[in-house]
Amino acid sequence: MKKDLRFLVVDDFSTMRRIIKNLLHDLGYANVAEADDGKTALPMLQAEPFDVLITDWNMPGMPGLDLLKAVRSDPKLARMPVLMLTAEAKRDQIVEAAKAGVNGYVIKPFTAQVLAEKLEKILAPAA
Amino acid sequence: MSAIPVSVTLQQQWGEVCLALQEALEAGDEAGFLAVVNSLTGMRERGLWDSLRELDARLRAALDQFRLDPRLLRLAGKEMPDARARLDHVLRLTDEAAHRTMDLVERSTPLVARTAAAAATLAAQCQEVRASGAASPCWAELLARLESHFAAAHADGETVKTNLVEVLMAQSYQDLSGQIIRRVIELVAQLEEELARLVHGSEGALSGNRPAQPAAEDPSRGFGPPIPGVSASTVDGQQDVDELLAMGVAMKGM
Repeated sequence: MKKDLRFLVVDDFSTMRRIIKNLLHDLGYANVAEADDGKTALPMLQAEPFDVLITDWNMPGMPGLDLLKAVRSDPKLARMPVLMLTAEAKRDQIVEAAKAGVNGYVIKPFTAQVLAEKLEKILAPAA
Repeated sequence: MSAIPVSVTLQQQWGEVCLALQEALEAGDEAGFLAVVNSLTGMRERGLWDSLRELDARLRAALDQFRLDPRLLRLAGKEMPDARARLDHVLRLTDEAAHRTMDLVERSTPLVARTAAAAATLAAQCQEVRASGAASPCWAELLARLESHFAAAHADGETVKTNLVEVLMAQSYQDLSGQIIRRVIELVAQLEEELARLVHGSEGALSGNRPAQPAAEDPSRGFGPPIPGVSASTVDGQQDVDELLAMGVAMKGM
């Protein structure tokens, strides 16, 4: 698997962004940028080249589902692997995220192992 | 007997009108008949309006009394803003504690990783020298003990590294509890606003000229972490999520 991939981690809680960043470092991914909601993340995604998006759902400003839809409707970003990492646990929401084109969905609280497995799965086609 | 006074009252109140109706009916006087019917309706409406006026006066008096209740004034003016400030403070404290813990984890992980790696190298070197047969029996015994010690130090170091990852993961409580606290803060703010409106803005409330209600819950914004006994239709673990996601992807392809 390529270790020089560039990640964007979007979560309104700085503690969670730091946890994800640390786990990505442990997996060998050192190139990680952060944003605190969809409104901040979208211009970053449009302006800089990112390979993977990891996003929370429930955030002020633009929530993760809207960010996912914006990414999928932008021709330049449409094929980007998106992993949703969230505490949102309603069954309808997960089906809705799948329909909106999410590649992976990890429910909080999660383990380092689950994150590694899901990343491996969504990155497999790109590797 | 009660029947007599009731019939007397009925007679007094309606007798004349009934008689007029009867006379107009018998005389075939349509205009006269309708005039009596109209006066009858007017009598009924007057009673209704009197009752409504009385109800309105009682409602206003009750509302004034409610508004002047010092407990309510204290709740809206002080205790609710205080409650929000306290919850904000809890959020800040847990955020600081989680970051402080992660500072220490991030500083400790490279140290233990370095020690574990060095121990593994030294264990291998001890084993190499011992296997070469170059050491005297007494040195060989010491090398065996050192090798065993370094091997254990390496294994312990790896366990500590794993535990430090778990300590890091445990800090996710700050995100989960923080999301729940934020929702309670929003709720308290809405209650505070409604109470303030009731206490200070009675005219608006009574005339029905109310400001916009807070927006209804928007599912696309999310619901926050599930709460046992409160949240419904939630998944039971990651496996459940994986199955639903696969189902959603299949539905998308239809």
